[in-house]
Amino acid sequence: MKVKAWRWRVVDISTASSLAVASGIVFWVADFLPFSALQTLLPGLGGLLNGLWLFAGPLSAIIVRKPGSALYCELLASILEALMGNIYGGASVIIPGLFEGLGAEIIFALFFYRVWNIWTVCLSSLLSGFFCWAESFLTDLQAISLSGPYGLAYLLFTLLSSLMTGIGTWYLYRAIAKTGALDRFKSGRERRSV
Amino acid sequence: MRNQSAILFEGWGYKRPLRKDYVVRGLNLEIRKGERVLLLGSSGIGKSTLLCAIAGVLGNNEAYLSGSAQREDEDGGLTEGDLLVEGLHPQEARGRCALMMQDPEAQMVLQRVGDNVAFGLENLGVEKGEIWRRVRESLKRVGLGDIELSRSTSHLSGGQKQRVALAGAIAMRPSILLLDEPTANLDPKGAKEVSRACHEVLKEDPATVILVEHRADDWLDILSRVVILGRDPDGTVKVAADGSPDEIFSNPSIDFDSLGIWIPSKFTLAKLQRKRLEDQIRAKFQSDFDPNFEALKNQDLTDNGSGKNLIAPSVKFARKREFERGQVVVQSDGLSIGYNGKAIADNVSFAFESGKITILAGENGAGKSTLAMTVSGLMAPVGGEVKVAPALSQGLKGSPFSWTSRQLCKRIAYVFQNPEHQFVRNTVLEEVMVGFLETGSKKEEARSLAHSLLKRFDLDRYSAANPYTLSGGEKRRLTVASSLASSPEVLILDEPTFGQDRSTWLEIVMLMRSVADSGVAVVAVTHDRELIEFLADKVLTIGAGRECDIRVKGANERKEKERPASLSPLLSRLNPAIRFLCAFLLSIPLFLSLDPLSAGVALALEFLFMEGCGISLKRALKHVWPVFAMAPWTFLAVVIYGKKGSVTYFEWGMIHVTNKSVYLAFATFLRVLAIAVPAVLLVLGIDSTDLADAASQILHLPERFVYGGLAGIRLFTVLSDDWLQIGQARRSRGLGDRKRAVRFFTQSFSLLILSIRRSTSLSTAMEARGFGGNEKRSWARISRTSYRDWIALSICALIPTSALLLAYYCGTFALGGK
Repeated sequence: MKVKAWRWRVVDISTASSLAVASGIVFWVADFLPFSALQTLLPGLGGLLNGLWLFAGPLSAIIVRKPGSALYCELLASILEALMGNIYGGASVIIPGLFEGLGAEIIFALFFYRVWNIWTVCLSSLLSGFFCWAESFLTDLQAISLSGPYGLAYLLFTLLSSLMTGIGTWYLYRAIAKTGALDRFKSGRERRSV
Repeated sequence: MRNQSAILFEGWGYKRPLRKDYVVRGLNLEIRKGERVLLLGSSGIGKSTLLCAIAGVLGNNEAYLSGSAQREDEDGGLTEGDLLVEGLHPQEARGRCALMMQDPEAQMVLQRVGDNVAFGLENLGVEKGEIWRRVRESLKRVGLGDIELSRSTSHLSGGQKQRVALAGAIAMRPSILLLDEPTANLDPKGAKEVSRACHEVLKEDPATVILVEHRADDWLDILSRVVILGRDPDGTVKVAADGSPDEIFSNPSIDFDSLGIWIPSKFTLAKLQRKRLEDQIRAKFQSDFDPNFEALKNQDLTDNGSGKNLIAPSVKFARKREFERGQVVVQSDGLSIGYNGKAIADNVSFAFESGKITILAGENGAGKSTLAMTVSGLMAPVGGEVKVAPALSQGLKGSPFSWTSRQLCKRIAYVFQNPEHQFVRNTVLEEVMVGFLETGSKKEEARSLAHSLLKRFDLDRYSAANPYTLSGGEKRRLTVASSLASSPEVLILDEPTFGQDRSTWLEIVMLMRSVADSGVAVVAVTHDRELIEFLADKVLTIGAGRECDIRVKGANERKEKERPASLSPLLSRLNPAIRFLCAFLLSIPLFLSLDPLSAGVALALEFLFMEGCGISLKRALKHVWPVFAMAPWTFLAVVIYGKKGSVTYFEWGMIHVTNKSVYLAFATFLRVLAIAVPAVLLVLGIDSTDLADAASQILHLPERFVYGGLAGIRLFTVLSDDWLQIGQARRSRGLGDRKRAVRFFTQSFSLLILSIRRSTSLSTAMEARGFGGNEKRSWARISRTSYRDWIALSICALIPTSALLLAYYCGTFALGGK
């Protein structure tokens, strides 16, 4: 891809933003799930839900395919989640949002924004999940050892759910492309000519 | 010569992404400065494409710069030939052209009316004082002089939105004004408002104007030239006729009918055209009309579609007619209709009969659709009952609203005004198959039935195409075809002829007549006079006037209440970006140490700070209670899984309750609260437009992203309406009975797709206002910081610092809980 193609068109920005709005709503609804209770009853089980907050980055990246799209979408979604108010305390969800977006972004950057397939989407989702896990031990879960059984179980479940999110995101992208809504994007035309 | 021309096409062509054929090809056309041109041609000939190209919003990037014969743009479209706008390439000339489009909703970029009008001016870099002068002046010129600038665009009518869009366009003082069917999506009242506003504006404005509009009647006095586009057999688009309105519309050698053009009624040719129309319709029904349904059934179904033979749209259709024509199938007296439990009309009486066409006419948009939806079982009546004849209910009890989606689609079908809201599948064929499948056909049978139905509607050649890619008229035919697939006894159409060219109009009229003749009760919501004249067996008028059959109460003008930007008047005066910074400044340092002292002290200070801002402890707790519901679980998690200390109280498997884990749990609990409380209270109520202004002006984040994002966020406000409509559409298509979870996910998916589509048209609207270039924008709204902001920031820095220092001196400071 030429460097010039890295510049965002207006349609890239508006589409990534509308994905962020949709994701922000999903995040906000997911906030009502008994994450903390699950976490406590069975160590790390809450990690299974983490995937619900991770799909925005990889989804936006695979659709828009511009540098920063994963970070932009995940961050904007969490800002919306913050503005809507949530049990994790308003603006504080922006910090994990930033971490998760970065995690998702790094993978595509490592591939120089050239490789767009189910593998990079899953890797992106996995790293996003890893960052999400790490962030919680830097903040709310400082009191728990991250290398202890709890930390490991939580990591395992988070990665498992990230992987499922990655696969789900890929198929969601394919379903969206099939409707023709992405015809103005390379990502959409690629799937429609298949 | 060239510098006299405002617009010059030379051998120009464009092919949309993934399409086989060019929309426009080989076009040569020159428009001189100051001309007022009406652009005519049948639907699908590429009129909108031309306007988008002139406005510089078609495709992207360098595709416009000539050079090689064909250039591919980033949207995947192909351009060929040359197009010059005032001697420049269209993208360089952005800002000289202003484009106004059909869909009022798609042109609202920001939340508030004033900001919308100012948006284009900001993109042009106009200085702030001048921006607001022009905003007021433009709003006045379109007849909205007394509207509050802070009014939310979501509370405007279609006609008002369209006038706001016009104001936004003329505020930019464009030398070329492009109007793409500006009244096509509006009810008659809105259409009148908009055309009056356009007239007012154009009377004094020297701009070059290109107007696309199927019915020229209202515009003749401001037009100087009419250009009719036609297509050659090889696909090139050529100018079929060109001249002054008088020359064109008085020229008997032009074949207006086959070009799909309505001749304005003031010309003598119009009468002849009308006569032909009458003859065509009459001839059609004298020859085709045959009440003997057995004969229809035996009629050649393999007819491979001149497309004109539209009687008896499906086999099943002809087979099923059991009851006589003229029999009442749905009726009511004393029905109250409305929404959210509020009646907009009481004592509504009507009776719809089989084989007849009933027209619901009237100026008021809301009343007609509400009645139609209530009858179709998509909205609950506010009072009274929709009574159904046994022939229609076929043993079902209750009113249509109580039926399941599948029961409903076999009996009553509703065709939405906007075809796109109704599509549920990815191909034209599948779209029609839905109705057959939902009423019990096997897949293969459904496929062949769908094909024959599509043939009847002259759509079979598109069976593999995506419904969205069809032209306006084709979409409309498809929605009718797919509603008929479940062979309903009642067909209700909402504004079926809106914005159609003459050929499509005729097709729809023929279609409705033939559907009625096959015994269906057809109901059309419309204000189209010709439609009423040619088709109506019965007319029910709806409106506010005394003479109307159904009287609608005057809608209350909604008064806008300013939403407070915070619980605290003091906080609401802070800059939104600063409020976010404050929230982070307060919380992030606290992550340094995990001890009850620093967290507890910080929490106490925060409550004091909030008290000082006017938020009492009680009110604060009322807004942060959800955090209290979550925090105990974190507490418990740390108690049982936290880092181990020297004294163990309890041990079981992975669980170790120790002196240290309990201590850390207390610390965590307090810290979670100390972080969450300010993070909730400081940002609560921030307006997204204000936040975006602050993000670009105070934090200097890139503006394309900030305002692009902001415009995207505005889509949030239309989500709930979209959700409702998608749900109704799915119900009327027979897809509303699935398991709740399935229904929820499919509906969410449709909503996501709709949002993505909205965002792509939003980007066009933004680019048409000059957004997205590299030019320096100006700001219509200044985001300020004052001494208050600096005081707030200092307090927010002081609270965690003093808490942490105190912990340090008392020896409880523990980096990361060590």
